[in-house]
Amino acid sequence: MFTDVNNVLNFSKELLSSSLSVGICENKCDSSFLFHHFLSFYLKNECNVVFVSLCQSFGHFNCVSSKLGNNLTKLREENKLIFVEGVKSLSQCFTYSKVKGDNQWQSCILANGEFLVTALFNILKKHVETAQNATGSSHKTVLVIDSISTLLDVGVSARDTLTLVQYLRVLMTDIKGHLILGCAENTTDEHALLLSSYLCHSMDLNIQVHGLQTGYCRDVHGQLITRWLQPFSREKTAVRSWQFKLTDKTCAVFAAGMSSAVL
Amino acid sequence: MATSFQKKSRGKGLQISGAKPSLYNNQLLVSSGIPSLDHLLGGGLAVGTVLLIEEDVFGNYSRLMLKYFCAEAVMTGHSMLLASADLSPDQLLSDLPRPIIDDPVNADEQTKEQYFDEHMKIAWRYTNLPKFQSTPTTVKFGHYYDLSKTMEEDLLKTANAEMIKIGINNADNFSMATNASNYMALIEKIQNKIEMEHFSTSSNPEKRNILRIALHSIGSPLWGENGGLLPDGEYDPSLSRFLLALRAILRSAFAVCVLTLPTHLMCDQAFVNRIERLCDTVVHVDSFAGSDKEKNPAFKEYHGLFNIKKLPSLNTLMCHMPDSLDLAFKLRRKKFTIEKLHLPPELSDSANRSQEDPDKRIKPESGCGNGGNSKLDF
Repeated sequence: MFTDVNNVLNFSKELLSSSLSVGICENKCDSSFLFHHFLSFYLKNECNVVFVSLCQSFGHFNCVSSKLGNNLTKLREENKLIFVEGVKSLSQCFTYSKVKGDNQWQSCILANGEFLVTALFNILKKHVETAQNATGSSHKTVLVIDSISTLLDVGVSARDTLTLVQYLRVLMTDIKGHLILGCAENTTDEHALLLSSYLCHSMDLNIQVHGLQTGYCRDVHGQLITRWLQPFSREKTAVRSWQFKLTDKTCAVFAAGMSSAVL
Repeated sequence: MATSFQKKSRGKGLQISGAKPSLYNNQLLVSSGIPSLDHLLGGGLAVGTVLLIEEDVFGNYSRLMLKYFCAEAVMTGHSMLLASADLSPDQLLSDLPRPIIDDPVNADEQTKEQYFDEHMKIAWRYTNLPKFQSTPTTVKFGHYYDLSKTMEEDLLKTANAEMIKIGINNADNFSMATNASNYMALIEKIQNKIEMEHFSTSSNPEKRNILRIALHSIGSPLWGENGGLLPDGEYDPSLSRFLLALRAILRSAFAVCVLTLPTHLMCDQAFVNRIERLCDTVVHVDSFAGSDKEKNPAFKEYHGLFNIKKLPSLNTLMCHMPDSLDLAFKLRRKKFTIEKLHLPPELSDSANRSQEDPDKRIKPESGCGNGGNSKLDF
């Protein structure tokens, strides 16, 4: 958990009382630090987390989390964390080999090669329900998917992906849980743009992680644009822009141009 | 008196020949066969990851890099799986560069002896100081290769290599296999090899080895790929699916994969971006051969540009970052070096090379003066 990121996002324990959806768009920059942040934030606040990773393995998250002070293996055994190895499950849908053990995700693929998002939604829903029942309803349930764009890459249509996102939003709002989705933004990719702009417009909080326009810099790793949607007031959305720098265990966030290397 | 002090033997979890743990994270690294590239990537290629080399237009340098990778497999005794549609993999293997095996320690000692035999005349006070070894005798990581010779046959025979030729399956059947079936067949072969020869992390063989997977020019038309498009113009996810499956398999195996891919043949930038996101490390090779840059004096020293597009952050929050991501490479007979692009010093008479007028005759004569070339003329 990075305190700087929490301060910037106005993220605190109070938010846990209501439902919330967060969309994270990355563009020419790695946004994985935000997922590590949210993972440790929710685990520290004793939420039940369902984490679906579509671009990394459990080992990676375990290693980073142990540096941030969470033991994922232990939490997983205690059923506080349900970690879904999405890379493995999703790729097994498409490789037509005999699969050892039963992979639920196999049900997503039809005989003619079509991918069924409704089946995927049912799988995710089941995970969320198990998480909810694990320690009673007093704890918040959180669903995190780290890169939903991977679905587009493997050939799921943008329309189906958007439907899935919409269903997941309704599901999490109904149980007053939190939903965190990540996607890759790309201006040349029509379908990815559709997905990222949808996340941008529909989620309560939108975070954009951009690389610097001037290229890689040692002291500033990228730009962070946060956008809180205010559906009930007639105010404009509050857009704020920051820059950040990652170190081994922390993330420093500061106003643009206020890097300690400059001052 | 017996002492309770004992030298602690460090609990070395894994010791595999040709691999070392990373200094930054706990990843196991293997050499790519090019020491300067290893250095740029933070020590070497992390086991369980995919390196994508985006080919230069003629594919010469990317093929060379792949050969270095394979040659390193032979030198370290790693298993190898080589697939190609363009050249026959056997041909690629028989054409590996010969390693330069002169023990640097021995050579150093010889020169040292010679040196100290001579009586010191200027720094004579230093004659009696103990000599120390400047080259540490650690396990060697990465080799240099001589491109003018090919690898010895008996050394090649020691290689544990499996060849896969992609393309037309049998001569009577001229119909090309589709890209999807090519990729799926390949992923199945990789999966089988990992299972049969115990490269997976869950298996427990008595002697661990590492599998190196080299895929030459994957995604070229010879593989049946059509730049990510189906004949009816729809998006073709076969290559993305292949890469996702490859990542899933490699993450739980002692294997590392290098693939070269002709991105210049793909007109859809969005497709290239998707492929890049599905690989862990992405580098781009851009040769000067046949381009205008070949004649540019600024690039006289180099053979091409080398651009790092993506570095993996594995088991850490942030990845290792070199000083610069825009680099250049040069090829010598015994060395392929990737280094920071330096412009040569400005020594010529004419000030700006790019603004120099190529054709002076067309230039109108100046009104005053005698039209000489001296800079002092107005």
